[in-house]
Amino acid sequence: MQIRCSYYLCLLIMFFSLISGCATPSPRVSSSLEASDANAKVTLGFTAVIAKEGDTLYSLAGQYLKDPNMEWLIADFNGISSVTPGMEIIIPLKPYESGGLTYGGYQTVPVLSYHNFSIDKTDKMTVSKASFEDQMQLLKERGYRVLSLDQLFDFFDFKKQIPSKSVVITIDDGWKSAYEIAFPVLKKYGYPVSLFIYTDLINSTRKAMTWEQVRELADNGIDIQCHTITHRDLAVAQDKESFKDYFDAVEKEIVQSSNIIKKNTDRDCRYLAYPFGNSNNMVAAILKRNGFRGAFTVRRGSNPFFINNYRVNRSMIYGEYDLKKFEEALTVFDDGAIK
Amino acid sequence: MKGLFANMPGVLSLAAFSLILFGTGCASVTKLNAIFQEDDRFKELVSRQAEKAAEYEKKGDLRKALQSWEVVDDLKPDDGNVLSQIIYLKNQINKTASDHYKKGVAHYQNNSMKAALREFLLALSLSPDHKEALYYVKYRMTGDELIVYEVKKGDTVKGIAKKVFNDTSNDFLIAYFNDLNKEARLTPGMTIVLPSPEVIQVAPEITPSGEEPAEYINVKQEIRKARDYFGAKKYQQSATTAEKILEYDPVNKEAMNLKNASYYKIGGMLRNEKNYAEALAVFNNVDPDYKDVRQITDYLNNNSKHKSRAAEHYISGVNFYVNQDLDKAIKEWEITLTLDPNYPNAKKDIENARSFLDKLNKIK
Repeated sequence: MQIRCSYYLCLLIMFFSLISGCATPSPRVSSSLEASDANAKVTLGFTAVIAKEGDTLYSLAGQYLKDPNMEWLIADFNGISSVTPGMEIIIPLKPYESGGLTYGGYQTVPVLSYHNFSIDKTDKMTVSKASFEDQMQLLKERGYRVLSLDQLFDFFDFKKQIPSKSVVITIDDGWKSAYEIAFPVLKKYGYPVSLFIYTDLINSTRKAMTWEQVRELADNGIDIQCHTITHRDLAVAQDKESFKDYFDAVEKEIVQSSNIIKKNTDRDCRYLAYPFGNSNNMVAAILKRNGFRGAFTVRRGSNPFFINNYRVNRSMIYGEYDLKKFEEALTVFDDGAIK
Repeated sequence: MKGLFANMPGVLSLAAFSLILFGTGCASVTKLNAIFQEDDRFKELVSRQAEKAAEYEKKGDLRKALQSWEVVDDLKPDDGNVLSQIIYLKNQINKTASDHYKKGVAHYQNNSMKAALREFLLALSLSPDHKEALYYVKYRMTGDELIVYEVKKGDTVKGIAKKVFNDTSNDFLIAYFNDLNKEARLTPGMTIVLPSPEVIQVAPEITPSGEEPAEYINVKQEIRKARDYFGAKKYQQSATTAEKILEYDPVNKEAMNLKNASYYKIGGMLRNEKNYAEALAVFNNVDPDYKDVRQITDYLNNNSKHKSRAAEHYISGVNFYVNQDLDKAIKEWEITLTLDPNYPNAKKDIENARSFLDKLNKIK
């Protein structure tokens, strides 16, 4: 009996101890961070920092967001591009703007589309090496961040915030010039790129890539995606083709090209670039049914998050473009639909 | 510590230990809070954020205002005013977002898509977690290619195909999109997905007016055009149209063939007119493996080289003539005529030189 009383007494004491503990508002503070940096005030959603000598956006992102490459989150929130000692900086500890949507407008992401490259010759579909270098350099100088397709579609699906100046680079077809001229440049800048290949082109002429080259690119982190087997216009039935024949042909162009890429590179296709940029509801439905996450047209314009995932705009970059014309394709904000 | 609890019963020891533990815990919490209260290095930042919050609220940007208040709250906890501002703004945001959403639905039902989109975006800009607004913006308004259909009593795959697509032969679509056999028995109440009826309208989408047209051309239509030009012997137009197609589709065999055939015809006509230089330029646009193009261009290339050498010999002849070395001049012009039988003036110059030589010989 005495033991039982002592037991209840003990529980009572523990209960009041807990109550008294909870009565004091719980501090929204990470004591380890507080201890580690006297110039920082860490709370639940934000950290306030007075920048010290030697601090950069990258070092702050590494320290507080555990990823130096998240430096854009700090830059965008504070509207700054660099850090100076003594600067008061608020570090958002989590994304704060899904879909880049604000009261005044919304973020848009340009998707650039290239085809062929050349050392010096240019035509509409062929960009010279020098122009391509200049364009990639401009992206770097102006602070654009190049996204992968997965990052782009996380943005479209309202799942993740992305840097306010984001852009995507794609190359169509599978010409050897992309392997020989474009990829060394992209590698130099560390930009991710997606290559949409139509499988009949590979190994078909001297000017086309070989499967060995495609594999090499895939092994080096280049994203290989579908552009059908034969590059036929998926939106138009051919002469004397019944609806059923047309449906089967389109399904084959999509599914088999994906299988061929899987067989040759051991990678799954999740995105498709429509040959000639043309599509219709049937093609989009087949893509959806076969697990494709999205597809690209060549309708010029940047993309807000609310674009149809199977009708994503791409802006073709032509050989005759100068840097001014190139920059016109890089729209990253719009307010047209919200005005 | 061990000695202190040594003479106590176990439960009491535990209770006393708890007291000490929680006691020290509270002390450390209080101490940290005190540090926060005393720390005024962020005071200016806090007041600037509070000013920003007021500005945003004035502009109607309630979410940014809330965000600024949340920064203030995180930096300056336990401030009752800040908390009440946050609560007030959250309520305002929920109410305003809900109003925008309702307006959006009304516009959507009235088929005013532009106005509906605006309202849904405003709702989402205030309240990013507004799932219904997101669903409208992302799926309903962009056109969903697959729709959900609930099977009714008596429905068959063929029957649904007739009902939805007005054509029983499109039953394969239902089978395909649902992994079903066309003869499968459907149970009432089960849901299947169907491609929307527009699926069977297979024409390409047309770029909405006001937007820049799609960059690509209609290849099929252009091929037909090129073929018609060729049939009408308008070879230049046929070649230009085929080249335009090849810019977009560099391996299009029919365009390639039309381009070769057209330039071949033009080159042949120029050659017949003995306009060899232009003929050569035109034949250079044709695939060397097309018909006898390699032979023709070889011949024309040689011809062109001959012409250039003929010109050199002709000028050399003129120099000899001027220096009154008529024999050498005649020899040079004869070579000129061997290389280019039609070389202008060469024949006449030889005749003149010979007649002059005859006269000279007679005088001698």
